Amino acid sequence: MIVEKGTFQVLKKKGTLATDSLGSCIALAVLDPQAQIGGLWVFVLPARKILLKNNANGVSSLFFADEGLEPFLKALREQGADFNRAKFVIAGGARFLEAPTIFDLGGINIAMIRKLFKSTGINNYEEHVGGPFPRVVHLDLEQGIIEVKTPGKEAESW
Amino acid sequence: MVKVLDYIFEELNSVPNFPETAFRALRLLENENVNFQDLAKVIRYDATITANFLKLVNSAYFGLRRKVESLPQAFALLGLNQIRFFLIAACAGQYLNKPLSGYNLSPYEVWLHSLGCGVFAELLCERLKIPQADHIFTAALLHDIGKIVLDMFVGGELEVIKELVREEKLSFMEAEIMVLGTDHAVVGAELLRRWGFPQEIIFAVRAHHDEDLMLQGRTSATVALANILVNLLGVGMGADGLSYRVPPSILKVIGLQDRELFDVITEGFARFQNLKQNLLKQ
Repeated sequence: MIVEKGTFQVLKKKGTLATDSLGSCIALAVLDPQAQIGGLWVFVLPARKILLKNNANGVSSLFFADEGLEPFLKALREQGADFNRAKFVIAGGARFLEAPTIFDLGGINIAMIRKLFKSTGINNYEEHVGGPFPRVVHLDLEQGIIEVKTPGKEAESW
Repeated sequence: MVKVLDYIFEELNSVPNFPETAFRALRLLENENVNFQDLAKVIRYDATITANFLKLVNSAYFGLRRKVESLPQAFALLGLNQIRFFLIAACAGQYLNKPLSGYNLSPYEVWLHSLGCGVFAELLCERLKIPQADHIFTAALLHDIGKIVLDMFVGGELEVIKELVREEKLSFMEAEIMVLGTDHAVVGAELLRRWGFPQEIIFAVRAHHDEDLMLQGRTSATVALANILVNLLGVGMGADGLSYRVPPSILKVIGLQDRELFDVITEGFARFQNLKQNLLKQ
């Protein structure tokens, strides 16, 4: 199942989840292999407050790092995921070779998710972020792996 | 290197022509007071364009209550710029539904990337109140057409290009030039020149990755920005990814405030998702 940007999916027992090419957006994949619970969430922007006021309404919380993390983690907990043993992987946050700061959405998103992890107490996570390359994330519940693919490179998996 | 370049330019002649119907329709649409009956007469003789056009209109993001089944019905419901946009998209679809294996893209992704760029170009034109936007739409929808030519004829060399990007930290264009003697923007512009497109469109396609050229006009800057935003969102992103440079003054040239940028990204993404979901449903 493809997880669209600005949404998440949580699966139990079996199935696979995947993102489209991430660009500067960031995917967070969480997998508890023992309980066979996995989830994938893709956010696009760091926070609602970077939008102008009159445009900020009506956009889903899951579009933003700061508002989307908690509902995603809650959905995983409700299914029975144990975060002490779960794998956390973030991927994406691509950046142009050179660009004015305002275009460095990848850099801003990376900084934001790291900060949120710190304040949420998530300290053990893998990251595959930054650089100019596109990435895709796959999560396979039965095999118990999270995989990050970059074209022309070997896939990395956890 | 020169041999490869000669070969590419020679092979450009074998790419099928842009449909004559589309040219005639676009010429009619350049007139603000276009006669819609004339327009329908021109388009309806091309079944593929008509079918593509209606499919796109029915997928569009402004929520039509009932299904549009004929050209006159569509023209009655849409604004001139919307007709332009969907007509160009309907024609471009014929070229942009091929796999680009060298760039690691499926036909579907190539098409989504082009459409996405068109959607962002349309949104920027709306925000900036650019009245005659047809050249911007055309250039946005066709900006990567050179990739189709490069991919068709020099597939093997693209591995070397990707390696240069990876190992030498070159931009994708720089690597294309080093290996092929040309790049997808130059090849795309040359193809459009041979097809007889207006100079403004040719220039915008030529300039869409060139940090200096893109700043020389509002059309080229708008097309380049639409492409930058679609790439930031990863829509139909090829192996070239974000291996490009963005010039500092691009927003200033276009007339967009820095703080408006994220609103444009959010709104454009919502429109694009809507169009994509509806296209998939049909």
